[in-house]
Amino acid sequence: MITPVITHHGLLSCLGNLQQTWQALLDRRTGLTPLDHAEISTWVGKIELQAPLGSAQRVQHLIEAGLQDLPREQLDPDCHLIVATTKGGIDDLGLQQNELQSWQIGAYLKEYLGLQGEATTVSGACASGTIGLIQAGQKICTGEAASVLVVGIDILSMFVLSGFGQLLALAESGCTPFDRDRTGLSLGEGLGYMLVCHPDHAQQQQIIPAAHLTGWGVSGDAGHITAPCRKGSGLIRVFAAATAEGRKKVGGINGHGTGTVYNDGMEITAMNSFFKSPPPFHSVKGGIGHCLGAAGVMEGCLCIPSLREGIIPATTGLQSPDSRTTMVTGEREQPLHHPSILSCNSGFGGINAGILLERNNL
Amino acid sequence: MMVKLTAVADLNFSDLEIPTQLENQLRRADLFTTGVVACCHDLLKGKTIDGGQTGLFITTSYGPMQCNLEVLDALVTEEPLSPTLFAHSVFNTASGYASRIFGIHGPAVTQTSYSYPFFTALAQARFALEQGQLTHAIVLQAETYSPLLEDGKGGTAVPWVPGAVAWLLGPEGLPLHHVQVNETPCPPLSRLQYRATSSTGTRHHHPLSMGLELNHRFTTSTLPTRYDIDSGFGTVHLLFGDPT
Repeated sequence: MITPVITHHGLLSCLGNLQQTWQALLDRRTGLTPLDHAEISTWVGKIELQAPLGSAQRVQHLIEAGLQDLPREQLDPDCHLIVATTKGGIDDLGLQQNELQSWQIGAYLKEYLGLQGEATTVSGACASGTIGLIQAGQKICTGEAASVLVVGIDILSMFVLSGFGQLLALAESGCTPFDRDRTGLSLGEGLGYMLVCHPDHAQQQQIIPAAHLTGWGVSGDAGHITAPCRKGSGLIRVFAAATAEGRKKVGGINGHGTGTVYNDGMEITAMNSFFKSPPPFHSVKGGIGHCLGAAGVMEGCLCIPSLREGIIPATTGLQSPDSRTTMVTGEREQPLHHPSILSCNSGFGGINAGILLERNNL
Repeated sequence: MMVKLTAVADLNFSDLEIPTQLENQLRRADLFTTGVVACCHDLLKGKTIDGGQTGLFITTSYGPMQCNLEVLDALVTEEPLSPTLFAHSVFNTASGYASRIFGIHGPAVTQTSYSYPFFTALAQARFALEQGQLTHAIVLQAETYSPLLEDGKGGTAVPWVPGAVAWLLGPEGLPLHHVQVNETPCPPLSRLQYRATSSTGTRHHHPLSMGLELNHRFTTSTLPTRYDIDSGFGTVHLLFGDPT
């Protein structure tokens, strides 16, 4: 059985690059700030980009800034590309040629990076990034590709801010994931990338992998369109698939943890149902906001320093944990119970996805 | 597992009639979602599938375009934005409806692509079946249309009728041995104008056209063993039947 490996990874969030974001999470610092808008009262994880919200130009700037650290010269020209996004430059939607809508970003990035391999875009709502990583793992396991670059990207837009506002899903200040008094989510923006490779490919290139992708699962709740299954049935099936029915050890969980009443409640229910003794879990969204289609890849990237240092960061914003859980990280980071992290996301349409990452022990 | 093409369906959205038993569940849905569900309904008519072992692979070039434009219109005109409208602007919403209505608990994945959305999703579904992760997979491409597309295409493209094409893959039917998609870089306008030719000599001018041709050939038993597509943005190779 082939186990795909992660050889390169990086991100850009409102807290900075990967190292800066990681350090801020350890310090429980948030990058969320009040949105400057008369009618929408919320906080956002906004990156300093010189382009209007929701614009194609903003997507372009984020790509340039977010992929700065990617060693392009090490990318195989035949490397496949998977883009995970939800809305792209949606506020610019007027169907001009170069507006970088979600369905155009894949082709743009392929050309930008000079890649020859297949490029696809996953639009699985907030689970897009994690699904992208799963598809990359499948491509490696089936021999379809030796390396797959997964890029998760989404920007803040008035389209999405207004939409979530109308769904009454936005927190008025910074979100407080897994808190008993949580009131909603805070939107963010960012880009994350992970290069998923066949282990032989990594060895040929003399690259020591940062982590192994040892399990995954995707499921549909087959319930409501915007609300998750209250019993967490879909996420439980993801846990089962990613851990081979519990046979693979999970040292910690990066939860979706948006800060909404229903999402976080569903996740806690699923964790309590599946795990006899749930491992420590946290959410990064109190620090960087909910980056939608990019979330899965950005959070996957943050699992790597977690694995390296053997800890799971505190949950920024959390004050009083939901009474049904004892394992959510609060004010301080907690040690992983095992060198592995399960990273999960759920989204509109009842989609759930999770990946199990393990530390490289070479 | 040998992956086989079990059934096909397609739907012209201008002839769309919502099945009576789905009317209530689709009362708030937009055209894209309604079309996806109705096409799925046609595909699964008379078929027995295990929802826990079935995956849904929805794919599109443009997604729920009209719905997205209506959301933007509400923002620009400062009209109140309907949360239902916003929910339907999300590309994955249609797969959520379909998975709920047909009890599909496996992966419900939505992909977008300009070039060969149907075949990219078909390749994904085929892998999942080959790996034994699923017993059945539904591959469905849906496209809406807006006259605004003409602006982006420089007014040179052929308009198309919005619709959907769907395949059910499983252990029974016509063997599908091989699906290979090779995309090549090309100017954005070439993708928008969409000009492709299949090995049968058929010329294709929109993203649904190839799936429609294959469905016609499947139902009239004129599907060749090998079916290739060539265009400025890449190639597709499919292999059906006995690999002699």
